[in-house]
Amino acid sequence: MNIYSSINKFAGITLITGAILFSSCRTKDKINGITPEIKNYGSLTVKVSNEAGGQPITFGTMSFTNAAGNKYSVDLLKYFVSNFTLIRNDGSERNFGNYKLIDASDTSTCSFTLDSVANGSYKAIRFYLGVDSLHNHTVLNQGDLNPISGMVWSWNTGYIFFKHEGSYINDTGTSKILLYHFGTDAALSTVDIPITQFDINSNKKTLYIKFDLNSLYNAPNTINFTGNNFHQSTELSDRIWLGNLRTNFSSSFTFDKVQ
Amino acid sequence: MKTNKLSIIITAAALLLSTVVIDACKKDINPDAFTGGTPYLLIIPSGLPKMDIPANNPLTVEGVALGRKLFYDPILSANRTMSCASCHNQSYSFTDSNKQFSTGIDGIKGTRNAMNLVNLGFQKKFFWDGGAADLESQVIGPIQNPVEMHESLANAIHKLNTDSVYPGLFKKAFGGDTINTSMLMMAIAQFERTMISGNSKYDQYVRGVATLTAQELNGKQLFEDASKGDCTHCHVLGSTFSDFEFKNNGLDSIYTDPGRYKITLLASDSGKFKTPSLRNIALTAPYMHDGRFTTLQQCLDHYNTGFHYGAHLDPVLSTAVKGRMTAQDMTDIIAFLNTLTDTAFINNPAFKHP
Ligand code: HEC
Ligand code: HEC
Repeated sequence: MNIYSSINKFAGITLITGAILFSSCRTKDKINGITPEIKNYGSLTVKVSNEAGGQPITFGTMSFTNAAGNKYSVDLLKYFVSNFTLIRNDGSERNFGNYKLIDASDTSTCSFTLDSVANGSYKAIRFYLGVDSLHNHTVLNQGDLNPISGMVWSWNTGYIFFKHEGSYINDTGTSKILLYHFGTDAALSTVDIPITQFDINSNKKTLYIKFDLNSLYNAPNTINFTGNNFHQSTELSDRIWLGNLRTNFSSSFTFDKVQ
Repeated sequence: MKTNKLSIIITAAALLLSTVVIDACKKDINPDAFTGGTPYLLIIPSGLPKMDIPANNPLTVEGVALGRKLFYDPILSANRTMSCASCHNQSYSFTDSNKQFSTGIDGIKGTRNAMNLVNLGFQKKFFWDGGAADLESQVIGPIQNPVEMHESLANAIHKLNTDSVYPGLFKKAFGGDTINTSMLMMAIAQFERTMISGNSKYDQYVRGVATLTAQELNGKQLFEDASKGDCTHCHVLGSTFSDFEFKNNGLDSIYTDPGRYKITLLASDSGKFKTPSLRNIALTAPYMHDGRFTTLQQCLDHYNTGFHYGAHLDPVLSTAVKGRMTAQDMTDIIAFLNTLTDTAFINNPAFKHP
């Protein structure tokens, strides 16, 4: 065999390989195109609406009153929802392992899509308000965990799980700053939303959840802003506040509907 | 033979083409796709341990050079007046000259003494309380901190992306047309991993190319002696001069700065701080997390008689006899500490303003 015939032979193989691969791209695209129709699975969109006392959040106005009677405003409201988990009627669970930063002022951030969710009947939803310790110990992340969001500490590596900044009217009628930066591993809060039953199928593909700021500051622990209006999770004096909010998160989220 | 080699080459070419084609299913074919920077050859002086470099941030010539430029560039501060080097000056082993506390861009002082940036690549946790969990993540601390560079990350990244030179430099180091936060953190961390000190008189003595005086040798002995200095218990004699653990060395019994406690919220961590390396210690005054001591003699006096019996004092000190060192013992230990000064490090052109 001389060199030239060998080159020809392999060059031929190269061309054929290339051709097969190019055409396989198209086949793959076609398969991808029909995947969503396949029977038992589909994507599910989760939409979170942000309210205070049942009213949609409006920014920069003293429009809300918490259970302790403090009038307050919201200039900024952001939080992380992660490890969204759906629990089926038979008790089996699926954790989607996702990280979502919700910015209440931007509805485009208030929904996320879960892929290949099994159709069927479900009885509960669970997720973390915050970021699990595995992902909370580095900020070398992109996507929703990109530290560019400002939802990170400068004194400690990790994410600020929840931020509410605004102002409130104190007992003597003066307007004061309200700054709640909630986080650290120990504050990771599990939100459990039990539901009698809901179905997910090809006609019911959007899950609506409500978050209510007044509920967060009410149950089971009533939070009074007076003298309790500035917390950054860094001081010993923040610990009671951290514990109270951590317990309250579960009741601040409610299931609305699936449609 | 020749034929075989040639077929191998062509088959390899075919395989390569296949990979390119498979990728093309996802993206457009990019003929000048980023293939990584030039590997940086990190030379670790004998006597120092192996450095664990994270697999997701290998050192490259381009990355290290970029990190160095960023370290010295005030572009990362809100009003473009302060760089990392403003508080970390090479002549003082990258501490803030003789300042107890550094002043940030808004004229506000912090509450801790700027740290010695030496042999960072061998450490796992950063800041006096270990609050920064990796060297990459540490970078965003001073940029955002209101008492330091007081800049938002979003704005810092925006300034870099709209700069005339940075987009090209980042592309060479990390590929991609847009600079992101990860690239910024990775570049500075790469430069910091190259800041290695291992050529002090003591290192040369260990390598057998320098001799210590009788006084320095005696100081070394006392540094190790469990009934005298016992410094080696925490500032491990040898390569790093630290165990990099968090210890309470008895500075206070009531803490204005709770140290490690702030991070872990464990009562047992109250008043604990990272054992700092003693390399270049003669250059890094003032001393301790709050810069309370201006001389090494004051540090020795602290360990000899000054330490407080707080609830969380390290057992090494709570069992140590006060007054166990004579004035001469302390002078000798200081003479030994002076042998840890590495003038090659503070003059190394590779760490200077580029
Ligand atoms: C205003 C002064 C100031 C500026 C500017 C500054 N630092 Fe620091 N640096 C400090 C102080 C103070 C500490 C100790 C902080 C603490 O423990 O809370 C420190 C600690 C560190 C540490 C930890 C070292 C160790 O051994 O744990 C690193 C690394 C570091 N700085 C790197 C940087 C980088 C990179 C920049 C620029 C992006 C920078 N610094 C900008 C003052 C400064
Ligand atoms: C129990 C552990 C321990 C022992 C023993 C110990 N140190 Fe320290 N050393 C530390 C810690 C922790 C710090 C930082 C404390 C702080 O700033 O709050 C420190 C800080 C220092 C500093 C200041 C470093 C700087 O960068 O500011 C010097 C100098 C020092 N030690 C020298 C010594 C000498 C000399 C001895 C022996 C006589 C000794 N140490 C024994 C744990 C120890």
